[in-house]
Amino acid sequence: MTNTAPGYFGRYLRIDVSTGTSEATPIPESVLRQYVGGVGLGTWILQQETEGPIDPLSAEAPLEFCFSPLVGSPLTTSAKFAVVAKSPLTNRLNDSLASSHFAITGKKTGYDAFVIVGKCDSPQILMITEEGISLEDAAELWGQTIPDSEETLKENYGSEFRYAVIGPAGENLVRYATISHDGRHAGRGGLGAVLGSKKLKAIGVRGNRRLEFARPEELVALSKSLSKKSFGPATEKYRELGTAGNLLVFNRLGTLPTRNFQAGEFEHAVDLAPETLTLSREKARKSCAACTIGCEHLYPVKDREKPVRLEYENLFALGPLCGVGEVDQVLRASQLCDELGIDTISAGGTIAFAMECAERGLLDWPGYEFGRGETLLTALEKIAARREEGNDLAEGSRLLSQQIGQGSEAFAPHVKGLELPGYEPRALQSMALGFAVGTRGADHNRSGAYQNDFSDRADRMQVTEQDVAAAIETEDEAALIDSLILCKFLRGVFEDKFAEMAEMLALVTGWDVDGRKLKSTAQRIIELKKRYNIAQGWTPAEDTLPDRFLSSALEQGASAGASLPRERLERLVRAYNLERGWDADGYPAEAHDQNSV
Amino acid sequence: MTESPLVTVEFLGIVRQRAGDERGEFAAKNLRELWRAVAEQYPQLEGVCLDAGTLKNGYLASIDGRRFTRNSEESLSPGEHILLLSADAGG
Repeated sequence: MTNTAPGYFGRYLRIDVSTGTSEATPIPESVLRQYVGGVGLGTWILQQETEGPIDPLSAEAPLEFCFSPLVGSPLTTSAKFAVVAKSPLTNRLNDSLASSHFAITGKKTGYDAFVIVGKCDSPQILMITEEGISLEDAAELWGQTIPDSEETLKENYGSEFRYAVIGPAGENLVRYATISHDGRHAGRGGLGAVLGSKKLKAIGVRGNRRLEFARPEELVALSKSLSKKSFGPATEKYRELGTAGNLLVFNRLGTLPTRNFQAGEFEHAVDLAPETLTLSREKARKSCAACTIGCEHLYPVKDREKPVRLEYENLFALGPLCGVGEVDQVLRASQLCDELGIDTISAGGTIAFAMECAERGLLDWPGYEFGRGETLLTALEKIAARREEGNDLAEGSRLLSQQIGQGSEAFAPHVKGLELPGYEPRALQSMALGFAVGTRGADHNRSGAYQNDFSDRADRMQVTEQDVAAAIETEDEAALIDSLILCKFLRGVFEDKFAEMAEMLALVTGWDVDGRKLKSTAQRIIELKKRYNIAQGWTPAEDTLPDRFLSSALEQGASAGASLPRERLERLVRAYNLERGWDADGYPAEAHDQNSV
Repeated sequence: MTESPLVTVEFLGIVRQRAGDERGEFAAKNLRELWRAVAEQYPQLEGVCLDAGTLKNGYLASIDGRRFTRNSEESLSPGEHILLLSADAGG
């Protein structure tokens, strides 16, 4: 094994499922210092493993599971892994995170990452242990939902294995299929389809290797202090209401995307809000593995045995965005996505887009009207099976709009193919910039620029170049948090985020690292992502928003009149590029005409 | 002596949970007076989102749902609608 810093094993396992072989590949410590782990390390490995533009669903396309130096430490929220690959939805870099025991057990196999290439002849389960890999027949599991698959796997192979699993959507190459474990999902960008394209139903990991930390006593003390702070006011919202607590706030501010972003407020928002749901339903709370926050709020679903975890993004995308205000339909839709392995945001965005197309007479799909919950539920099942119109919906809103044409591209709700999350960009214009420049498309987890909009420093409806630095700061923070990896809900407990995260990394690895160095690390990771995208065909024209947001104002609610003229967004993007040290079009030095990473 | 304008305060999110109420009406010339009046009627909010006439870190006021402020000296006009909410919009 490579002699490397504590917190790491200094190698990744490269697995070719076409041949059933694997090989340990060393990772130089200099690379770990530069890219840390998780998303940063995953991007670096992807760069090493990719030669020129690649079809994300081809056998040679790599799919990675990346751990981090903090995984397995006593630091709260650190049990996370990143799944990194080229996205079949965006054709750009995609990094998707999930929290679970899969991270801890996976790392304890003795690797910092798994890289999977190749394609099986028939459905298989990839088992990874300290001793090596094996492929097991998955014919019995193929077609099963995610919860059923996990149950069958536990019965067949025992509970000492942890599994990452795809549902029918991943098997059928739905471009926004998820990879899931124990109710948590690497949700965005369709990496479940990449696993499905390799004919892998699941990955099982079993490991007991000891994890070393450079300064264990100090690390335990810091972990206790962090856990204590995580019980404080900064995470109160997540503990008491969960992320779904955003719904009424966003509705009141006119920033709640409704009916495919045609409005910023929804008349049934109160019916769907957790404040209302808790009056009539007994909810349960859960935490991710190794987490002290406990933001998961589970609600019972009518006529269903199991409850569903409710998040703001599920609620917005399957409720207001589709005009659906009947709570049991929204809860069931969310549960269906979890069972079938579908990203809720992209599913809701694509179905809402189809509903608007049908209402405008651009699609002849009976039942596709805003507010039709039965249509929503049926559509989700058809998407996962790629049956009837579900086959078109499974392509996502960008490809569907190209198929429909007739001007529908103007209101297909995506950036770079990734459907927008629940933040109305005309009324939250720092976030609009974050969406436009995001390397994985419109995303609230890779840019937290909404933090600037929700402050007294900015006019959220008239953002200027003065706000660009604040947007960049949140993108840098996210890049680092996703590489370490920690939960972003801890943000509020830090007084000096970069310095405190540097202390964690120093205690784990023994490195001499400070906040300033980590800030540079974050910027290096962002630039590497950009360079990967350039090599895969990125052009400056992609860093924009759909025409709807740039040519019409919101008409109702507290944000009535909010508009984002195209020239303003272009000025913001240009200022962003220059502030990053790139040229005005967004190319880092020497990246023009780059055809390989 | 000028009478203080009457404004509405709407509680959102975690503030509503703590207040146990959706909204209230208060007479106040500026936000400092308003927060004191709110704390008097809802003492459970003092130390949570209010601190002796100011907003605690992590909380914001929105004037009529359009403009955020934390400035306690900001003057109020009759009929204004003040939203009191957590600044954390992570979802």
